[in-house]
Amino acid sequence: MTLFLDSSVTLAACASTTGASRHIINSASAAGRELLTSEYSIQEVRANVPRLGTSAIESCERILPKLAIVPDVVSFPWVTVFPPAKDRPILFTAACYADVLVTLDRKDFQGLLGTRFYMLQILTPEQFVRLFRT
Amino acid sequence: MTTMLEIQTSALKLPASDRQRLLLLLAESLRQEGQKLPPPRRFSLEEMQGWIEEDDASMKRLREDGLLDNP
Repeated sequence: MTLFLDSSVTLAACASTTGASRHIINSASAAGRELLTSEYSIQEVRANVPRLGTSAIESCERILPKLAIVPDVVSFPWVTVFPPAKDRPILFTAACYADVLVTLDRKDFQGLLGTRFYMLQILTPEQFVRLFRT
Repeated sequence: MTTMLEIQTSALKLPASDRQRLLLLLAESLRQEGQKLPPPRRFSLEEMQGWIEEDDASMKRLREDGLLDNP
């Protein structure tokens, strides 16, 4: 199974060692799961992580190498009802490369899309763990 | 696997869901030239702290429900 981590999940994992996001990252290898990100998401993480403190910045440098980087996707060939927004590259990239988009950003993703976008499942870290018991 | 025929033959052996994903990837690769990414989103500190609190609370719920071992 392949998971694309939204920037919100990567940032939460950088800031807290006790959250579900960090758990998903730490358990991925043993569970045979591949974790994906993109250059765009990495830019977002690097732009925002300094405000979460020195510890989060240090964790970021340990976490990012665990994620495989896939090319950013900026447009989608199928009909979407997702309004134009800066987070479209995350959704479109995840839809092209991953089985699941894991996000804590309910406002931008789940609130608008439910839990599925074509073949892509959109889940919070907690929903993912409940479904797949990792 | 380097020739077009080999790639096509292999692609046709994939499950339907993988062929759909491959189709999206190829379509995107043809569209992508000339398109620019938007600037990265800037999240408020409050928004990020909300995610972190929710993430920690999630872990607590998962442990309470017996889905994960306690540390």
